[in-house]
Amino acid sequence: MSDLAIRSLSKSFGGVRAVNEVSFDIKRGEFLALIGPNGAGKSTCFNMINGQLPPDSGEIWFEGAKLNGKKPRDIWRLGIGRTFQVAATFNSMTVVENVQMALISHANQVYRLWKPASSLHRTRALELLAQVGMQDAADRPSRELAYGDVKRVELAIALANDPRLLLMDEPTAGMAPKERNDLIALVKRLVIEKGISVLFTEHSMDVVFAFADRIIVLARGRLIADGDAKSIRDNPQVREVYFGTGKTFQKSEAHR
Amino acid sequence: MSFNAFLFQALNGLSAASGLFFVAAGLSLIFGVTRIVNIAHGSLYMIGTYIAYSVATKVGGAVGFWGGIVLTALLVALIGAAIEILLLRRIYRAPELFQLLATFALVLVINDATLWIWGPEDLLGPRAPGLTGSIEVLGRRLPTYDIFLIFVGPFVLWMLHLALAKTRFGRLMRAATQDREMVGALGVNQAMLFTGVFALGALLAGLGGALQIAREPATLATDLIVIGDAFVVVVVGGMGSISGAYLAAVIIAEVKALCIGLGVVNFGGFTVNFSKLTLVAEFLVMAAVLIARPYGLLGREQVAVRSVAEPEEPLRPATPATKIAGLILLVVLVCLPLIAKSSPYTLVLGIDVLIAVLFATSLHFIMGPGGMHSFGHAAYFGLGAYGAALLVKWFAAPMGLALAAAPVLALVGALLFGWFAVRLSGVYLAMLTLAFAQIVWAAVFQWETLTGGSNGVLGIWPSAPFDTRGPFYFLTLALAALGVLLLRKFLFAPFGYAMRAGRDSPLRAEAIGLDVKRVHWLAFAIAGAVCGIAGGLFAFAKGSISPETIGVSRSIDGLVMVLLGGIQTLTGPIVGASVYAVLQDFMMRSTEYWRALLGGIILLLVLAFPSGIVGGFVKLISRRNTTSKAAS
Repeated sequence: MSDLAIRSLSKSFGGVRAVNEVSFDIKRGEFLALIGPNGAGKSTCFNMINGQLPPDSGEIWFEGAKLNGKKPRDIWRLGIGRTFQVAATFNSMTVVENVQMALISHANQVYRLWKPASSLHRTRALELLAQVGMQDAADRPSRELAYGDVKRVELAIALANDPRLLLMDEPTAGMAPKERNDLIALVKRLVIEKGISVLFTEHSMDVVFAFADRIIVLARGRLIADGDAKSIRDNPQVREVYFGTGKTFQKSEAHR
Repeated sequence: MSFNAFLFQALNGLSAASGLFFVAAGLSLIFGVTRIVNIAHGSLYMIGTYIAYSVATKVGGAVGFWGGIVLTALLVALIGAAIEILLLRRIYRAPELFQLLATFALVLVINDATLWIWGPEDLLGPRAPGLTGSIEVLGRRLPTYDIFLIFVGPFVLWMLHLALAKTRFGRLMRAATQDREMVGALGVNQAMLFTGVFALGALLAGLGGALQIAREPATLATDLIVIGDAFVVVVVGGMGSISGAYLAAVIIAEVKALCIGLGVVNFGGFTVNFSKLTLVAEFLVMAAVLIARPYGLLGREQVAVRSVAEPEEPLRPATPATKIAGLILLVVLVCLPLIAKSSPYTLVLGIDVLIAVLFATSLHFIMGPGGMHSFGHAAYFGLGAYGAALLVKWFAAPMGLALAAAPVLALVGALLFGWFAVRLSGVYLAMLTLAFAQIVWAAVFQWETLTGGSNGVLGIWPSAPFDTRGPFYFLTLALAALGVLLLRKFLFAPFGYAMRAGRDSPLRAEAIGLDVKRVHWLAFAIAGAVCGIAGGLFAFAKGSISPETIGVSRSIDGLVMVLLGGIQTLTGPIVGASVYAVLQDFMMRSTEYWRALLGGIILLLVLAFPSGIVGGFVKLISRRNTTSKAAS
């Protein structure tokens, strides 16, 4: 059974078809990489799945529920967590409070006015931070963290509602190569432990080929390939979009 | 009203629109480039009217009048440049609201300086030489000077457009409006650019003021009236859009002119006096525009300004030291009536301060943790005060019931206004809240049969056992302490965290299932209700309530209190409100020029403590801690 099913998803901005009739599935527990050159439509695709952008046409299904037209917060409540391309945490809170906030929301306690928030779900929040290796920084203000650590905290936040699907838009953007590998290895481990499915976009091919169970490739809004690391690596169309044909300037010279 | 009368009113509206446009265009330009909302812009306009009056009367004749207008515009531009260089340049890196506070202080200083130089009398200027006659238009007489004004507006609009499109300075201004960091990165001398823009904006204000002296006398009340109108015009037209400012000025002037023209109209037995609507008309227009087009008629969504404000520390529960200090404060406050035996005035001041604390704390609740900078908190104060007063007046309600009704009415108002307000952010939210407050004020002012109009409601005295000063002081102390502690409790609870989450990162907050708008809406309502209690107490403390006590100046007082104490700390509003209330009281009793003194003190604080009194204090302590740690 597939967890997430995308059917003929399309979105245009003005005259540009950013995402064009894209369909794919994610199976339970699958670690799926969405790759493609800049402007391929990866982020647009992501933002439609998490409810930030309404699709022009097509359907998004998650465990038998249609996501079209749902708000980000409702989609989250269905069991889909997410991390952002530019990490976003609550800067006026400590690291552990960031995670507690998500747990409070998950437990539907947002509108409570009495008990101090810092006393709620603290143990669980520390557990989650331990999973991403950030328990030592729990009581530091989150704005003081190094960028790589913020990414880890974000991951802990995203895991707070026990998601069955995790959407990660360039989880390693802005990180050093070593850090990248560590973070993705961490995600991969969590995925296997908890049976979460993950859809992530990534620019580092090393990371993608080393960890992804399956890879789908977008180029100019269209899905051009879908398969395991080897078949993608050998796919001539993928090679062409990534490396070009090497003929761009030959043509222009010929015109002169 | 006949069709001709209608057209005539429309012409009148057009000539009024020109004056509005000058101030609004200057304000809009300055905001676009420097991101400073210059509250003192109305004051520059006011200086313009006074200088032009002096030149026109001293020099006399056509040279004095027309030359005076040019000279005035240039002089006011110089004053603007001086303000920018001496004051604003030092605070560009301060939080946006602090800049607001500084310009507000300027309003106070300039107003008193004008009072000192020109005196309190209204000064009527000469009529414009060469344009003293009138022309018959549509069967009525229209002064030629008004016709001249009708054309001056579009002419200046056209000139501004040319300057923005063709000159290097104009291009830089447009570039800075779109992305000021980028302009800085390209090596443009920002200091010069900002000074230039400020001078240009001031020039327009001075010009607008100078042109008015042939129509209206120069008065000291001009500054706040004009800035109120100009804000509305800028916001309706869209921040930073010059054409938008003209369009909005025309629309608002026309709506006002029409209201006057329509007068009393019967709608099937239901009488509406439109001329009474003039006070609210512009705010109704603004509210409608902001609800339909959140960024004004010709405005674009503001690019998120990369915040230069210092990030906020996480909330920590009160340390033992703070708790002890709070307890001591409470004990001192409880003992105050003993001290007051020798000077009964202490209790009066004490009650004033406590009400101010409650008012400022409720405003801080939405401003600080909620990130919603309300410019119209007086609305809920007024609803509470009038709610209580009217219950006493019309139903002879006992004080208990009236005081209980105050927060309820304020809550209803806050729920209604807040629902619209939370859909906006930044300056637009500030202006919409201001509009709502003005609507409340105007309703109270105009609805004489219910509220007593400008006389207000008199004879609202507390009932026994609170009918003497001592017991009433304790009642105020109890309610204020309860309100402050309750709000504090809320901020540490999940709800308060959700408020801050929604402010820190709306995107992330929505992505973890928070309904940010709903959280902020409820926060708005809570703050409104608590503010209503302050209003109710105020009515009983004074024994009366009148429109002037719930006007714009109260909203601004609240802002100043919160910023003075420091917006990023929870004790800030308490300290800020106390200091401000005591200072104001003390200075009002000691000098005629208390406004200037107050303004001067605010300026000093802004320059010396850019994060407020408590914020500055906290920073001082943490700096000392780090240095002592480094030493050990």
